[in-house]
Amino acid sequence: MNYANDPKRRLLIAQVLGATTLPEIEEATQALQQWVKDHPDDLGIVDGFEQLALMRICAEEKLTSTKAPVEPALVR
Amino acid sequence: MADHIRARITEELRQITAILEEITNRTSRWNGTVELVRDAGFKGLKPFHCSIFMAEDLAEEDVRWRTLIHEALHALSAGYNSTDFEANRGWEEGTVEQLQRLIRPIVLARMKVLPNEAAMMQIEENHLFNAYIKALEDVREALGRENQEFYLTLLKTPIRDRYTLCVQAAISSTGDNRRKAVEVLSAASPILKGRLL
Repeated sequence: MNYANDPKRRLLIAQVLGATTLPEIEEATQALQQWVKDHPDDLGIVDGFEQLALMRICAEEKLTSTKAPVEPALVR
Repeated sequence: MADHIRARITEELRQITAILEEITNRTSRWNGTVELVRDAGFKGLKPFHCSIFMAEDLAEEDVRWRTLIHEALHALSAGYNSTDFEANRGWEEGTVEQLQRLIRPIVLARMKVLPNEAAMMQIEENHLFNAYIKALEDVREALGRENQEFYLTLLKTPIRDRYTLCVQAAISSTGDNRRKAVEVLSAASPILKGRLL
């Protein structure tokens, strides 16, 4: 089946490609999982998981790098 | 999954990488390691370090070739790091996916593989990265660049500089072409940064 013109699918793609924060990525991942479960023949959308996995790495790295630096222990 | 399957996939990727290095005139950052992931969700993944991950259940499927070539191209892409990917993800995923489609026949012919092209094209017909590819194709056409050459140039340009490269090309155009190229780039830019709405 051709889902290209399905408005729900278009919104889902926008959500997946636009997710940048961890909550957005989590929400988009769940929405994509549900779509794939409901439309197992829609193979063109599955690579969305690749981008979400990469964006998760980006978001986690950003979170780690913006944490306040730990005060170095005093050395006697 | 049996070690021999991982060994086969690793060998397939090694051959693909050797051909792609020749075509792109670039050196791969792939470290030669493939991780097959059970219940992965994704089909293939090239994290920002040197390994390549692949869904275990894809390893036996004929459509794996498009994923293998796609991930191998990420390993050849200039400036592939998390910061620049996040800010310019369409410039990377669109470039790599379109290049995969353009050069897959050459790569597989050299490997003497007869793939199920119909199955791979079915995936690509409604692929979610088509939004990125459409934006890049609009830019390419506005700049009057040849298909494969345009994407090879983008691949060897650091991800963060790809937009600037196209802006410079647009500005160096003349007359109506210049105005049109700038307009097309302005419209494509948000999409290639992941903002489709």
